[in-house]
Order: sequence, then structure tokens, then C-alpha cells
Amino acid sequence: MAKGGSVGEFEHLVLLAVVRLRDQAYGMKVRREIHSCTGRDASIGAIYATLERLASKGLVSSTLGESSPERGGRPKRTFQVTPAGIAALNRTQKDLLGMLEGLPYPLPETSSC
Amino acid sequence: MLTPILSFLGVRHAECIIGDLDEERALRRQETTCTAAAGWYAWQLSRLLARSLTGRLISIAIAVAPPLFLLQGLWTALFGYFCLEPAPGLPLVNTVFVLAGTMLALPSRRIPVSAFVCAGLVLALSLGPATYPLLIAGMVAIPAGLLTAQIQRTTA
Repeated sequence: MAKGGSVGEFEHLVLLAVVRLRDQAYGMKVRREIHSCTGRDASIGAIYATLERLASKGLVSSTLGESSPERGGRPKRTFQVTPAGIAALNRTQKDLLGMLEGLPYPLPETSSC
Repeated sequence: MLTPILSFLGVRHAECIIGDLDEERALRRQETTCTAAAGWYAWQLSRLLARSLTGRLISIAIAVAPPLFLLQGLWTALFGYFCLEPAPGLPLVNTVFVLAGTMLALPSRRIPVSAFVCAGLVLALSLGPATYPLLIAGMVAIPAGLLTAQIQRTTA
């Protein structure tokens, strides 16, 4: 289980991408979704390493799908967010929203505490 | 061809990863040019290889360095206690034993075997012909270590 029920920043992005993609969440699609939403160009290795870490925490599960000619006959591994993953996402979202409440967006670059 | 190499380097789901890369390369060919798609593919592959190699080498360094320092410290203290000159082949002996131990301890033994062979050869070349018998003795430890590990796996 994730520390304190929360997830790291990149894990958060990957989990959200898996939620957004529903039953089409596999490595390449997750990478593309993160790129289209954030502009971040993550490597496929980073995506799979994060998905594997999330799976070891019990936040995602995976199933091996069918192969297709454009994939060179190789299967795709599709990921789904587990109930524990949804709970971790909700907690992280709640923490973030709580911390952002009352702050302007975007934050002025010269702000200090 | 790529899948066995990645699996050898300890990359999990290597077949799915290569399938993903192939699929995205096909998409990029339609969106951009063949050259750009091939360049992107090579870049992703090199990042993947670098990531897996770095992780593996760090785990080996962490596994090898502490026992090596401990052994060196032990021998230095013992030789100092008995007022003896340290033997020239001692670093080689230490390296051989520590890497043999690492081979047995780490889940995948392929990279430690390569590190073991390289370290042995470099040390033998740097220390001269006097160390060759020690090197040969050390090399015997590789099949012996692997055989022991195989027996452990079979009987577990």
C-alpha cells in the first residue's frame, strides 16, 4: 500500500491516465495521454516502471490482451485501477485541493511564505 | 531479437513494451516521416536500455562494495597485527570471493557473471602473470557457484 495512502507525482499522473483511458490503458496509450494532457514526454520505460510499482502497491491490476499486426504480433498489457487505487487517488486529490484552496492560480513567481 | 535482449537485462513485460513501441512507431510514420519515427524509436529504446542497465549496475555496486571494503579492512588489520606485508594478489582474491557471493545472492546472475569475468581479467592484466593461477582458481568459482545456486533452486 502506498505510504500514507498517497501516491507520488508521476504515479498520480499515470493513475489518472489509466482512469481516463478506461479499458484502453496500455503502455503506449498511457504515454500518449500524459503527453497530450501535460506536454510531458515520458519514456516508455518510465511508464512501465511506474505501472509495475503501482501494481506492487495494489493500486492497479493488469491483463494480457490480444496481439495485432501493427504491434508485430505482440500482445498488449492493459491496466485497470483497483478500488485501492481509486481510494489513493481520491485521498491525493483531496490533499492537493485542500492545499491549493485560497491560493491564486498561477502562483506569482516571487511569492514567499 | 530485441525482446530476448531486454528480458536478459531484466526488463519485465519486454514483449509488451516492444509491441507498444512498434505500434507508436507505426502511428508516428503516418503523422511525421519514416526517419523521424525511426529516430524516435531508437531514442526510446536507448532510454529503456540505459534505465535497465543503470538499475542493474547500481544494485551490483551496492551488493559488491560493502563486503569488498569489509574484506579489505579485515585483511589489512590481520596483516598489520602479525606485522606481515599484504600479498599482491589479495585484491583479486577478495574480488573473486565477493563477486561469487553476489552471483549467489542476486536474483539474476547474468550481469554479475559478466562483471566477475571483466574484473578478474582487468585485475590479472594489471597485476601480472604471478596472479594467473589465482585467476584460474577464481574462475572455477563461477561454475561452482552457479551449480550451488541451481541445486538450491531445485531443492527449495
